[in-house]
Formats: sequence, structure tokens, C-alpha cells
Amino acid sequence: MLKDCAPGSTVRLANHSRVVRFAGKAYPSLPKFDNIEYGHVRKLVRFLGISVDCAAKYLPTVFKPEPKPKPSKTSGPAK
Amino acid sequence: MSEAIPLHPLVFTLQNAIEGCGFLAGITTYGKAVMEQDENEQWWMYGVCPGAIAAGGKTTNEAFLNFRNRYKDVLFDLAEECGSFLAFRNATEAFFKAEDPEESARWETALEVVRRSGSALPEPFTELPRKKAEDFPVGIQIERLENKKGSQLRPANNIQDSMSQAA
Repeated sequence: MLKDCAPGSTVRLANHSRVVRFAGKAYPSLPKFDNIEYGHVRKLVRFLGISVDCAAKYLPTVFKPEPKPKPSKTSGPAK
Repeated sequence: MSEAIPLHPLVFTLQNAIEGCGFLAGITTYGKAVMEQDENEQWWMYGVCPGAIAAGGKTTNEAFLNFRNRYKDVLFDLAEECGSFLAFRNATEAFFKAEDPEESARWETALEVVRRSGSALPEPFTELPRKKAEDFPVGIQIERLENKKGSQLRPANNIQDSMSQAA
């Protein structure tokens, strides 16, 4: 995904995290686990300004068309 | 009429003591984040300031705990890569100040929704302390602890890690 959607980006393994650099920005908190949860990828893409449409081609389950978070309902205004 | 609140604006405070190469740094962070639940019912805390960080969990508290640990991991890496206190301080400040403009806009919108909803927050956010956004001192303090004089070391300087609902 990064190769195509963030050309020129680099990924470096630090001791505790992965550091991803792209377009003059650094994202130093990507976990080192093999399976990275969706939220980390969403944040990485948002923070580095990577095209969501491009990312969705590679990760369609992470970037669904118009992903909507599940709203939590309020119980009504306090009296 | 009540309004669904899909995104929650938060402020948080974290205090860390980090050992580097020849220094002991005390870092107190007053940051902003948003929290939302994804399609898998997992809670996610997305950093606004600092912007380059996120963490999830089955509950809001677990997401905050993982966020705190992820933040600590970044500080550990910066301490290992910086040969001096000055370099560590500069790198840590740069990480903190790397704001995410899109997340920042989401935080502002979420704050407006929360304010329109009055006190009708959903659980578990009803249990969080509320802090007026304008009064919360967003910023970071980094000091060299081992250089402090005895009289400057006081229990009153200890700050509990916490997150609050911005209101």
C-alpha cells in the first residue's frame, strides 16, 4: 500500500515501534506487531495525508466507502 | 431532542520520567484526542495533539491505557536515538507539535456536538470528568530532573495520568 500510495515513503524499525516517513512528516508510533489493527492504519493514512481512495484499493476492509463509526446514543438532555 | 454522539472530544494528561543517555527527563503532556467506536465495537483513541498516534481497546479505559503505553513507546525510542537531553527535548517537542489538521477539525466538530447535547453524554463518558476546552492548557513540559535541586523536588509536582471529556 505504501509503495503505491505513498511513493518515496520509508519505514524504519525502532526498538519499540515502526517509524514511517512520508512527505516531510514522521509517524513514529506504528506498532511492530505483524497484525496491525485497522485503527492504526486509518490514523497513519490520515496523518500522513495518503489518499484514502488509493489505500482502499489495497485495504478494502479497512477503508470501506464512507465508513461510519457506530454512534453511541444519548439518553436525552438532563432535566 | 437528543443527538447521537459518534465522536468524543477528549483532553488528557500524561506524566513520564524517561532515562536517556546520561539524562533523566521529566515529561508532562497536556494533549487532545478523539475517541470513537469502530464497526467491530472496538474503541479507538486518535491523537490530535500529538497527532501521530492512535490506540484501541475493548473499552474506553483500555483504549486510554494502550494509548498511554504507545506514547511511552515513542518516548522510549526517542530517548534511545537521541544522544543528548537537548536532542531528546527537540525530538519530543516536534512529535508533540506534529498536529493532525484533519483530526483537529474532527475534535472541534465533536466538541460542538457535545456542547449542543448539554449534559446528555452516553455511557461510559458520563463517568469521565469534564474540562472546559478553553481552560485546558494544551502543551508539553520537558525538564531535566537530575539537575533539579532537592528543594525543587516536591510531591506536589506529581500529576496523575487522566483523560477527561472536553466540554
